[in-house]
Amino acid sequence: MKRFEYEDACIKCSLCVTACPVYRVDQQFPGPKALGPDWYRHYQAGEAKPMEHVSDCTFCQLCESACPVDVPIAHLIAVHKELASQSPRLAVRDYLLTHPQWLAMVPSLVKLPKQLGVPLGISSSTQWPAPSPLQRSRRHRTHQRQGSATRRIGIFVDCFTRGFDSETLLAASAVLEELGYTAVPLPSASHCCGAAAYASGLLGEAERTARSTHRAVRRMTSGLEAVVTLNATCDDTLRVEWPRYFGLTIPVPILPFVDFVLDRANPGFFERIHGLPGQELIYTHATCRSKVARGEGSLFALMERVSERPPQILEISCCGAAGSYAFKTEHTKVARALGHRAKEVMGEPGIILTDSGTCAIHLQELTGCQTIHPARWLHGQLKRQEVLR
Amino acid sequence: MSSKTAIVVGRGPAGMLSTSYLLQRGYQVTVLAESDGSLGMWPGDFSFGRTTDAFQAFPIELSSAEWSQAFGELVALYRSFGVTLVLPQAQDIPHTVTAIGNMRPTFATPNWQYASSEPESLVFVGIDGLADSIVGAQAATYRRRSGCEAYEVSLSRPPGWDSSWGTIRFAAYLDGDAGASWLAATLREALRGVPSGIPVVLPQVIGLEHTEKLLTQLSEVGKRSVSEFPLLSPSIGGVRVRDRWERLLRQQGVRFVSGRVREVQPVPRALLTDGRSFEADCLLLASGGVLGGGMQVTVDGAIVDELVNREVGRMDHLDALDAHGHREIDCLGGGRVLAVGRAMGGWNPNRDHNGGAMLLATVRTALGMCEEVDR
Amino acid sequence: MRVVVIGAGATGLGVAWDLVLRGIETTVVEAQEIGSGTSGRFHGLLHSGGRYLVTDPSAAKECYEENMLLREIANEAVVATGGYFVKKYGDDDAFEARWLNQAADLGVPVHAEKVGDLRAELGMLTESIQRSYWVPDGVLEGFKMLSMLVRAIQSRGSNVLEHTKAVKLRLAGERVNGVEVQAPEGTRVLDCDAVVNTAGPWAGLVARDWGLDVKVQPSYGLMLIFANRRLDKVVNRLKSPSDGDIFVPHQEVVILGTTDVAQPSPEAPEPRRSEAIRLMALGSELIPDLGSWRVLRGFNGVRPLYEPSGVTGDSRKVSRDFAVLDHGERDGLAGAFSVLGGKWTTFRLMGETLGDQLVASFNVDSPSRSREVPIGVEVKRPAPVVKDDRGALLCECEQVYESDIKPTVSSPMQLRFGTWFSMGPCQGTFCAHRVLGRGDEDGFADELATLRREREHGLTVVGWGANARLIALEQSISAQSLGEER
Ligand SMILES: Cc1cc2nc3c(=O)[nH]c(=O)nc-3n(C[C@H](O)[C@H](O)[C@H](O)COP(=O)(O)OP(=O)(O)OC[C@H]3O[C@@H](n4cnc5c(N)ncnc54)[C@H](O)[C@@H]3O)c2cc1C
Ligand code: SF4
Ligand code: SF4
Repeated sequence: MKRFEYEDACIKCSLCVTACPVYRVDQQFPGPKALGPDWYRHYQAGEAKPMEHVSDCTFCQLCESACPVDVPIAHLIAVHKELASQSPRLAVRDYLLTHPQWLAMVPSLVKLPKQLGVPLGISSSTQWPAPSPLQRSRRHRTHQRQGSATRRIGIFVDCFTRGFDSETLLAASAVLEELGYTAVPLPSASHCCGAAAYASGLLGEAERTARSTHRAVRRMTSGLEAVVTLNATCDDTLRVEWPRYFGLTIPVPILPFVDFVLDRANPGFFERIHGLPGQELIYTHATCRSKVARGEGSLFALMERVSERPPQILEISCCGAAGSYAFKTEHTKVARALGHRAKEVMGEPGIILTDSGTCAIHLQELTGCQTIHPARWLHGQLKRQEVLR
Repeated sequence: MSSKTAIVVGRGPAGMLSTSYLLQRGYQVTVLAESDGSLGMWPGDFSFGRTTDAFQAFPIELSSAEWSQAFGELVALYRSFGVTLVLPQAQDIPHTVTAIGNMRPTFATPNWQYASSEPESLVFVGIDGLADSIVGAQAATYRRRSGCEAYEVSLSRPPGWDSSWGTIRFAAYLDGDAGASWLAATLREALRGVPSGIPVVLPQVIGLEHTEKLLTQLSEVGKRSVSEFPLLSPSIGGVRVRDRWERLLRQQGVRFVSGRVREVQPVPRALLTDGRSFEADCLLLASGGVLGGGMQVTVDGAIVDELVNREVGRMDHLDALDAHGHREIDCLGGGRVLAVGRAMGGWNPNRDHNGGAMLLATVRTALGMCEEVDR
Repeated sequence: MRVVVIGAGATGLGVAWDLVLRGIETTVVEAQEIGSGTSGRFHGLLHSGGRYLVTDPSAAKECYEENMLLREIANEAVVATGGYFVKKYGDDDAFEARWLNQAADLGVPVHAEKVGDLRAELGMLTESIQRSYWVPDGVLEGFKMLSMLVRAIQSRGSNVLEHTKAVKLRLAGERVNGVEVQAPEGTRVLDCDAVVNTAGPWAGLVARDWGLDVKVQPSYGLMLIFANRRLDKVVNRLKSPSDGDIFVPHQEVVILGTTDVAQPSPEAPEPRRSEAIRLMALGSELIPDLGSWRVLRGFNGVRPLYEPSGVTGDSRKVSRDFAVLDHGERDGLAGAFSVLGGKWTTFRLMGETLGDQLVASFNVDSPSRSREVPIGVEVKRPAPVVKDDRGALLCECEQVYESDIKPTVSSPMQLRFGTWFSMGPCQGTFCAHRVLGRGDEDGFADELATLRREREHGLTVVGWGANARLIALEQSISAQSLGEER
């Protein structure tokens, strides 16, 4: 049996239950305490069967970040999910969804939902990403600029960005160059951090995926100052989960793009963007995993420094996208209930910034407002500024 | 941009209070916390001890003018995030009633919670399917303790109920339209035959965001005052306060950093286990006591504040648990690392019901010291 | 024939069951509650006999035989986990050799287990294990067994009376013909032809009330309960029986025990932190990482050891075997018997032996049937369920629902026969008022206070790490949220 630190520390305060977004909207969801530490204890004693609804947990880990005694609640729930029986049909689907890197390599696969999705249990109401794979030629171009700047920074190209959101990668590289860094995308081929597999309770698969990606990333880190991540979930996975659960470490600091910019840019950079006229109202959405991993407020702080109009916080907990969660038929209702709040809390239309591709698609669909990665917004402003000048 | 910066370690009541007051004084605040604080564990009211005289027995002395200023500020602060705190009219400390029918002191009380300075007849409402609802035993205890009449009524289970319904689920359900109308209808039915005018107390699950509106509607329906009695952790009263307060702080630009602080240095500097480090002009140590996690109890019974590597008490028997804590607010002696809330020793909120006084007195004193530093 | 049995622990109920099966009308009187003595505060080990092979061969043989028998006749209250004896490098080789010889002689099955295999199975064990052996140890679910016995006894028309204390004997000449008992309703006399003292550690006091001198040596032992079942098999240290050398997995928890300290009083003393620390240190000789296991509570039980020759200094040296005294023969008090010493594991055999002597002394021919007759139906503990209409979930740790609480039963001890409420990781912090508050409304506040104190005592000795935080939470919930007087 897999052992976790603090697996037996629960003092039953239920703070995790107050933090769980699903518990509030799904009337049958037993909640983190029941599915995690309570269940696990009976499971260890050989007495517990998997509970219904365990797969409704999004693995957002907000429960863990609420817990005063560090119970690895969501990770215990992942063990629970692993045990929950699943129909073979959903197993195929989960296997596909937890390997976004394959989907990304063969972008036409994402046309799946329409013909094959329904029988496979892929939600037909959740918006599917449009493929925008990183082209060889483009990637080549980013490499070519290397020589000019002296400080080298890695950008972790997660499977989603690689397959569906190459614009964000290009924008981030451009912004970093603007700050005086050469961005090295890594790893060189399509890989995944394993977060999607872990979230679905495929623990072995998550570890295998993580190990192979770790090998691919590690060998490219020499001479790098840091590795910047574009997606909060990958950030948490690489920086916190890899060492804690798989013993895998990366020898250079890992930082989310937003924190890196906030930290390294000089005042001039912020001022250049700040004064630009005609900016739209900005809403910031800190994704769950970014709150868990590093906290909230840095995206808002960055936007406060660069946005003409004071930014606003999109006051929702979890948007419901949660990686591949919203793509699964059985979760559609919960995912939409969670995301629906976004529209309610927005006073006027604006642009939503968030550092997760799946959250962006989901929010954009439910609010009708453009939702993009902050790197793309910054890059857009830099380009405008050049034009205006 | 403000030049004054502050770090607050901990996001429990002391951390939140420090943060709000620092913001008011123009600081830019970063909150470092590893987990949720204890706000969700307590009902959200402030207790100040049994009599006002007791204030002066604390390790910190405030004059009565300072206390009333402190209360005024607290009420204003709560109003800014949408909670109305009610202060007692006269000198008497009011009481609230608990889930088991006891009367316990409360001082500054959110307006959704029952408070009264005199025992009076009450109608206790139980809800079937709510684990903490033991209306029979509750009313029996109340009768004995107060000498007053206690009526009991019970509401049936809400539609869609199953045994996974904890207090949060009840509250979330009642926050919605369906839940609100279910409650109004069943309560009206249940109160038939109960003498009119007698105040009604309900378990504290009446919504999260819309509580005030719901309670007003219910008292119109029942033509009598309707309020809640607090339940235990997760305590919905505390969750309401926490959620609204955090939202305000986020909008005010506070950065909440999640991570475990490993060490606090007099500079002041906070080092996190993941290698990050933060510096500021002053640092408020609001990391709590043993429950909050600011203090660890070792196997041999020493109570240690690991952040500053100092033994602050011993837990050889139960009563000792509450006396521990830093002796001085200026706990490292450099005037920049200041212990507030339960990190300061000398209070026993559990026995003496003086947790509210502890928060206000320490935070206000610490703020004064911060400003001292800047001068 | 009518018999009164004093004490409703394992021994008393074992005696009553054997007598009932012989057709003898039996009344068990219990001063407190069923199992409130040692039988509710033991280690939970269904001995294979392995522990006593060298030091107490006859006890070892009895344990083994009863162990095998209980699996047949009381399977529901026995879990055949199996157990290991592990020898660390440096532990006495000669002891091991004698142990193996004795096992062969006495017929206790022992087989060598490869250390590699053992560590593959129980990875938490120390690396410095030299050899290990499998034995048929098991787990005895005490409360379940007690309630099965009570039901079986009652279903055959005999009685178990709680809160009924035996105070003195009524005699007809040299012969017992009644027992005076005190109960909340008052004092009365139960007519009988014989009386059996099975008062465990109190047996010396009961005998003293009869004017007899019986040397019972109470000796207390501390046990630590770990919050989760991190180990699936019983683990014993292969050396002369000593302190802190057995781990027993018991339902959701693991129990480490024990110590052995002679004391004059039969009451369990309050556990002490210094002893808990010592036990942790001893336990970590087998499980080096023990410090990271959360300890939930510590509790003491008192052994009712019998020492015919009087009190000795070292209670470990007192035999674990049992004795049946016929006070008619021994002291001229006809119809009075005492059953002393022994183990939980051997309760049935103790009953049989007493029964044989008792019927013989009355010249009745009524052979024991307790070897053949199954003890009865399973008293099922609720397994975790998800969706079912069992009412609100009252105790989340141990999954106790409203429907598990019978309104007629309200004392915490009685509730424990059906449920484990307040025994899990929250130790009653969140469930005590919910469960007790659904029982007797007027006695509620007092019962709650009593339960809190009892839980707090066990918690405080192991108040460190996460458990210290639980104590702080329990204190503040109880004072702040519930307004309980401290
Ligand atoms: C620390 C420890 C660990 C142990 N571990 C194990 C183990 O793992 N396996 C095993 O097999 N054995 C174990 N034992 C031994 C076993 O628990 C005891 O041998 C057994 O429980 C004794 O049962 P009993 O019925 O004799 O005594 P008790 O259970 O103490 O019963 C005596 C009863 O008599 C009642 N009583 C007393 N006076 C009167 C009176 N005047 N009138 C009416 N009632 C009265 C008391 O209230 C009590 O309920 C352990 C013992 C200890 C102390
Ligand atoms: S991981 Fe998220 S969805 Fe799952 S139980 Fe925890 S808080 Fe709830
Ligand atoms: S927050 Fe942690 S300690 Fe509290 S109930 Fe949840 S898992 Fe247990």
